[in-house]
Amino acid sequence: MKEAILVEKAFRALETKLPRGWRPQLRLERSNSAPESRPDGTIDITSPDGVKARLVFEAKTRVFPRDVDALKSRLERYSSGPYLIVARFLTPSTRRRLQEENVNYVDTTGNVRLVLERPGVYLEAVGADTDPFPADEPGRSLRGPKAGRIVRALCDFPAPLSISDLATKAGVDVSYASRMVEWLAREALLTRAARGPVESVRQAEMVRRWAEDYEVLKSNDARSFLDPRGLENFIKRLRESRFRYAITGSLAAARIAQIAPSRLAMVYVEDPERAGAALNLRAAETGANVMLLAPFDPVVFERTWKDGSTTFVAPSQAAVDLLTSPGRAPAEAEAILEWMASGQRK
Amino acid sequence: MDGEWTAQVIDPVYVVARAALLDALDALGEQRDAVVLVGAQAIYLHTGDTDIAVPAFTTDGDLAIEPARLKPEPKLAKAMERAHFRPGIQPGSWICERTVAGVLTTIPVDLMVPEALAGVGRRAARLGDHGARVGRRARGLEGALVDNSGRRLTSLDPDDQRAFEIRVAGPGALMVSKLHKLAERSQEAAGRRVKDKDALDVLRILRAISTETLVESVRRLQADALSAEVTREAMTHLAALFGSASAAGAQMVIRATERLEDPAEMARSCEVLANELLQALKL
Repeated sequence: MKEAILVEKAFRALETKLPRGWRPQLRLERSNSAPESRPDGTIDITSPDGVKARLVFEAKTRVFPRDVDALKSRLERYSSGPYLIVARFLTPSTRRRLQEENVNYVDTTGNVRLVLERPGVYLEAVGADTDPFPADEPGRSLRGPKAGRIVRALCDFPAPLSISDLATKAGVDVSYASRMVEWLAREALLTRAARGPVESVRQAEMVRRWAEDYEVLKSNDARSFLDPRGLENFIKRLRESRFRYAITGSLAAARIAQIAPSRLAMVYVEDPERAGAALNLRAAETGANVMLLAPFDPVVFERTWKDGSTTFVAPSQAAVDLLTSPGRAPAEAEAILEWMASGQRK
Repeated sequence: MDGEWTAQVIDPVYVVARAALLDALDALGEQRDAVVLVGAQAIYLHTGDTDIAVPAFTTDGDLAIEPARLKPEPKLAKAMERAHFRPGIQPGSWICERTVAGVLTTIPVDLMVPEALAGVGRRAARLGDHGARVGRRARGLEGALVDNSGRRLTSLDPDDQRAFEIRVAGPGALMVSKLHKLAERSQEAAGRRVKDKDALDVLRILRAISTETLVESVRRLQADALSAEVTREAMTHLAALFGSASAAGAQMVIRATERLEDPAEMARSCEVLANELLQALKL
């Protein structure tokens, strides 16, 4: 799509989302002699009572979260705002970054955010959430076991981490690891040296992004049970069991941050049916106090840690499981993410 | 990590209730050989806190009396008065007032006689020279004299060093007597006196005591002529009150744990554990 056509389409998307009586006016600025000295154009927005605001904009086919800083500082050279980014399609993560930076945006699928003080307007509209014009890019999703293992490795092992090291640790081939890192860097979830190792990982953001493509009760095979003798009895029997297990959810969170443990145990085991029978649990549709999960990948049993003789999943796993659990669990996840961000380690 | 799973906070009323019970046992002197500890305090000795968000707590001290072991002296009434108890309205009920956290609180100690050994009468038990109002008849307590074991009963207050060797009813006998109490009370007018807490005490026993241990205890009661009949009745009550999640006892447990536990989890636990026991007993 040529840039002028892109801007035209995005402008029309904006036009249809504006309230009745508001008029936008587009002006493209093309300067072939010094393309860096001027913005791509301006859009004037006029309210029904005649108050006008001029937005300077930059138009891009695609914008990645890591591009946002540079785009904003370029716009700042042209005017003191307000600013607008025009794109063919903006992913949810890019839109979040733009919003954080207080930059308005519009894309050709109808994703719009327009917040102006004078004339006063607050407009947010949702278009497509997935790119209707997918390029042949790798990644773009953290769905599936391989992506999960990459995220876990990036969160669990300290940077710097070479691509081949990451591939080994995550149990994936080097070319896959390389493509994922490339994409995650564009998503501003990690930084890497040019053609070099991963230098830093924004762990909390990484786990939040993973949670968009992962859901603890769907990505894993979850079964509900009742231990009629209660959780304390359940944990005791689990400790005495001979099969592999790892506790996640609230019970794990409560060991990391100051959280009152919930009264639902979530535990990874290889075979929920057999484990349930061995632990004398009853299958339960209602009144369950135990959830046994057959894992999406054996990685849930890696980098576990022990408290006494009880085994818990790694904080990164506990966090993504809580983020995608019902009830007050997502709030508990935030406590773990904060703990991860603060760089503490058990 | 064990201690962290349950906050071991003991209710101050419970601490004072235990102290009052120790006062009574102290004054009873040689008659201690004739009593068996029953009721909630005996249950909590077996079960601990049972991982239920309602703390174990009671004001009552309940003692079952075995008439055949009573000695002529000391007289029961004299002993209770020496420990600063006075007779309550009902026969066998002895009460005292103690200050708990600045509040004057009535603490009862009940002396009860299993109905099969209580002689004729409606409420009071005939205890020969000890008098007719010292003890109360109670149906369902028979098992306490059959299934019990010696234990050292200590204070819950670290500054109180007293301790007495005393017989404590076994878990089966305690469950049988609670089930009788629940069944009797649920038949009273509009169930007004029904205490939901008694139903929760039954669940505490079912949760904390393994089914094998309970089966052993109940079998002992079934095998003894003194307790066979009340035990058979109690097992019928167990099926009727706890055998399904919608049964009266299970619903009482829900009320007793309201807003502290998941009601469906509580009710289903009653159903599962009661049926597990009844099946193991082949009833």
